[in-house]
Amino acid sequence: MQLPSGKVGGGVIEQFLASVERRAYRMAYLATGSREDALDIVQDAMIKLVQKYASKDEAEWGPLFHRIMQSRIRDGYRRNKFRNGLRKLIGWGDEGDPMDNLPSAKRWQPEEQLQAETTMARLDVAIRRLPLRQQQAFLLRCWEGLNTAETAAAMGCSSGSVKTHYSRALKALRCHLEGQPL
Amino acid sequence: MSEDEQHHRFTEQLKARLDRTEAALDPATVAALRTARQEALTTPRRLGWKMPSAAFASLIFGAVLVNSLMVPSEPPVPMALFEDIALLSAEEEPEMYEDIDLILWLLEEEANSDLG
Repeated sequence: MQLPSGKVGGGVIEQFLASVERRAYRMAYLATGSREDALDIVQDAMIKLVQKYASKDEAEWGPLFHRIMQSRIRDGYRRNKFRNGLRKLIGWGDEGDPMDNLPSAKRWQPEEQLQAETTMARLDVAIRRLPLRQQQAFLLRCWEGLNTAETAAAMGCSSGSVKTHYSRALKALRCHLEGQPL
Repeated sequence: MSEDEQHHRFTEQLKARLDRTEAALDPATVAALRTARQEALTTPRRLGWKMPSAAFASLIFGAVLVNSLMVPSEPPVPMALFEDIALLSAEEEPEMYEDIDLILWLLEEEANSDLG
């Protein structure tokens, strides 16, 4: 699949990456809270997919990409947690709320935009409050629409664990967002 | 509305909201993702930082191992040396007491001569 020029042939894999990159970025961002970390995670996952699995059947790219992404997200989440812990330990200054870096929706009307951003931020906060495994199970099951077995494969755990994490995630989200407009 | 319907409605609302956040990504992030994709497609072979680090760590470990095997360890300090030190310090003690006795005797003699 690797051409002499270094480009992957066909452009099919590029179409695939273009179709998944935004959502992948959002998932990574929700886990790490950092734009740069999220972009790094997505790029790493893309590179790995292209270099190791481009020759595989197209139908396998989705599950493989999910698996790589979830693994990278776990690593990024741990690294971020360690960094924050170290920062607290050393007593470095707080860098502010990561929610301040939320992307804005510029094409909406001001009132709409304000309400949408508030609602988005609220949902982001609620998702980011979830433990990572619950967050992953929720995003893969609810947003990506994967079934339990596919989610388990992406997360590298059993179907039973996915069910537990997903159920707890929904319960927590319902609790956090109760009575608030979605 | 049944519990299942409520559950379905809730997850659909969340999904719609998440779709909206995806569509609302700022242009700078979208451009960064496009660049990341192009780089992923054109990167010939990336070793990453882990490979050189692992190789470097192995090299250092090997060097330390070889060094510890090749360089003979220093000979142990002979026990006789410690014994000599103990003896020397022990021999000094009676001399010190003799000196003190001598000084005391001289002082006493001096005092007696003054009285006498």
